[in-house]
Amino acid sequence: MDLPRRVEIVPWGNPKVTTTGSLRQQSSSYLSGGNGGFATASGQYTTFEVLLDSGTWTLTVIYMRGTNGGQTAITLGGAAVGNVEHYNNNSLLNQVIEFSGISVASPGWYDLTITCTGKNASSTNYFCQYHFLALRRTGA
Amino acid sequence: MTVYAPRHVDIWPWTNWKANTYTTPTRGLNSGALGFAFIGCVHTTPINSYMAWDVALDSGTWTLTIIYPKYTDQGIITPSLGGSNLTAYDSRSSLSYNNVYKATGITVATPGVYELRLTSTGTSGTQYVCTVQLITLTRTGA
Repeated sequence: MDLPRRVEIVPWGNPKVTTTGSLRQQSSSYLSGGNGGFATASGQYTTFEVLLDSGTWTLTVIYMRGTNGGQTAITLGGAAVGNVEHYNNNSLLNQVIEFSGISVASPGWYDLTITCTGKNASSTNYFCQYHFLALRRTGA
Repeated sequence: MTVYAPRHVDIWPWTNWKANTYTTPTRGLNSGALGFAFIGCVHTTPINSYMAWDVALDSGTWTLTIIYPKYTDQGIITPSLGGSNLTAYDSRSSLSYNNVYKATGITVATPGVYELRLTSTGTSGTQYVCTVQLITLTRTGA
C-alpha cells in the first residue's frame, strides 16, 4: 500500500490540539476563505497530525501579514522546519512561503506544530494567521 | 501496521503542485467561486502547458471531478491519470464559476501513486488558459 504523497491542511478546520484563543476567521479575500491559528501570546501553539511516507517533502505555507502579526516556528515531528514572520507595516494577504528538503526517515504519523515565538517590536499583537498548509513529497 | 491506500482525494489546486508549466501560475480569488479561490495563469500561456499532482490511490473504480471557471481565454483541457488520457472538456465560454467536469469509470488496477495531469491540448478560441478551483477523486467501486 502507498501512503499519501500530498497532505492538505485547512488551518481553520480541526487541529489535533491548539492552545490559541480565537481560531477561525472568514473572508472571501483569503485563499481557502478563512484564517486559522491566531495567537495572542508567545508560546501558544497549534498541532496537526499528518500521515507521511518516508522521503523528502516540501511544506507550502499560505499566510497573512499585518501590523498585529507575530512570529512563528514550524516543526515536524519535533524537528525544525522554518520560521514565519507575520508582521508587516501594512496588511498582506495570501503570502506564500515554501520550506523544501524536509526529510522523513520512516513512514508514520507526525505532529506538524506551529508555535508563536514572539513578535516584532513594532507589532501590536501576536496574531499568527494561516490560510492554508500543504505538504507534498518531492523525492525518495 | 496495516496501511490503507486512500479512497477519497481532494486537491486544492492553488496550494501547490508537482509541476506547472503554464506561464506564470497565478492564485486568484473570487467570492462567487466555490472555495473562493483558483489557480490560473496568464493570457499568453502556450498550448500543451500542464499542471500535475501525485496522488496515492487504492485499486478500484474512480470518478474524477473538477470544479472550474470558464472564460473566453481558456482552452480545451485534457485530464490524464497515470498517463492515460480522459475525456477532454472545453473551458472557453463567458465568465462563470463552479462548472463541473466528471470522468467516471476510471480503472485503477493496482494501489499506488499516480500522476494526475491537466493539459491544455487545444482551444475553441485563441488562448490556452487553464483555471481550476477544486479537484476530487472518489473511489466508487472495487
